[in-house]
Amino acid sequence: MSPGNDCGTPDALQAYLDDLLGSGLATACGVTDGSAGEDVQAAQARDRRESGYRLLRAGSVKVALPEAAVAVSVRVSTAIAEVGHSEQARCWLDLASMLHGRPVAVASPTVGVPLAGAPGWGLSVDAEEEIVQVTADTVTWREPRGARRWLAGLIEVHGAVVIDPAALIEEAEVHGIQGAV
Amino acid sequence: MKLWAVANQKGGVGKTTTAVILAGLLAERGARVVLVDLDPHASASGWLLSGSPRREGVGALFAGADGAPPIESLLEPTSQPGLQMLRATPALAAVERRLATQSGMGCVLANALGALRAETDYVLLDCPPTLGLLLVNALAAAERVIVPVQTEPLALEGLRRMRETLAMIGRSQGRVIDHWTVPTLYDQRTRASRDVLELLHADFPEGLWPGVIPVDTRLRDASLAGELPSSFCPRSRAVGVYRMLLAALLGERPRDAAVTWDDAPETLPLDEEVAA
Ligand SMILES: Nc1ncnc2c1ncn2[C@@H]1O[C@H](COP(=O)(O)OP(=O)(O)OP(=O)(O)O)[C@@H](O)[C@H]1O
Ligand SMILES: [Mg+2]
Repeated sequence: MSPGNDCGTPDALQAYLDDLLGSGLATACGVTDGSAGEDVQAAQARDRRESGYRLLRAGSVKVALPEAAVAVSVRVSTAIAEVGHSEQARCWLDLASMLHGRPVAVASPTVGVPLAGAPGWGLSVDAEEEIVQVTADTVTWREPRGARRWLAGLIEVHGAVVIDPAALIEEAEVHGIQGAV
Repeated sequence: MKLWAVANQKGGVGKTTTAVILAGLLAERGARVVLVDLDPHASASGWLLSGSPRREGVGALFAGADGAPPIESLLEPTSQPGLQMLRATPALAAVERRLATQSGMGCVLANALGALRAETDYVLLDCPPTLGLLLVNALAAAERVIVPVQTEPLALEGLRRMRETLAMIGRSQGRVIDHWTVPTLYDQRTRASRDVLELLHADFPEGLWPGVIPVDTRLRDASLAGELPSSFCPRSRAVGVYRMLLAALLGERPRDAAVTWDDAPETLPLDEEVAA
């Protein structure tokens, strides 16, 4: 089946897209560092199963950020002051305060995580932990997303809440930026 | 590496023009840019690579187990330093037909582009106007989607469809796709342009960039000459407004900041207001 512009019901189209994209796994299509010349289908099969998440700690909550969402330019823990210096001005979202829905005392030093594809934005968190590879079936997605759309799901084995950075930014844009540094 | 797709399921709305200009402007600023032509009609390739010998293009990435070449070997230089291209060939149409039913094929481009990460700052994807394997690959790979919308009455239905597609791809991937709607081919003198712009603001405010790209015949001249507008007509009105769009895309100016000619001192004339 190949959907033209008008054929198929929305459900059929959604099923087709899910299939093309590897059955609805978040970041299944993340741009990965596949080595050059690697067999495309092998890379695909691998990606469909595994995605990288960066584990962070914010206000005593462990969160997981899709690795593809972290800006490439700053891959190490860096104090916000330094990041702010070397990067163009960013709006830093205080994740702890957003998670708790109220201002939370900031641990020091704070870590700035610039977001890819969102040059104006970054997350400030208490600490950065390791990067983990998780298979898609270990992620429980929140369906429906409910009020705080950016709380996207849970990786139970790591006890980490999955953050959807795009939805987080959207919320900050819509509701004002509580906790922006 | 940032990955932006320029897409709309409606044809002739300024996708290729937008992708080519933004790619040129980014490269002019010193960024390392790759423009990928995903349209079997190959307009962007014809524009920037017309003098170059015919080569295998982006379609080769979809060869799968038959052996896709390394993506680096498919890159071609353009007249603009820093800007490379992955060309489209007519064979790309066959990719769409042959492979659209294979599951997981929506991720081929995203996976292949990963290999460019170390040497590339921006990848821009010029998309075909039909929803098929190529467009799905582009949208699935993109961190951000720029949707040019022609300011003419039939455009709104196309925009609605495009947003539905973005929502569906987002659902498949468990994310919200950042999309920017950019009004194009705006002719201040026509009633239709003004009315459609008003409707856009009323009915599609989410993700709508407040500026408008004016009709500017210099862009057509640039494409006929096979040159980048950023060097062919750097002081034209349209290029000036595209510069402001780029500044917003890069977060250098607020996304929702009103855009007026006064903001574009490079541009002539200075006294005319672009956006409401
Ligand atoms: N701002 C503009 N002013 C004048 N002409 C323009 C402008 N933008 C685009 N055009 C012209 O409009 C036509 C369509 O533009 P373009 O090829 O960029 O659209 P497209 O969406 O890529 O089309 P397709 O769907 O066929 O790929 C071209 O002839 C182009 O030169
Ligand atoms: Mg085109």
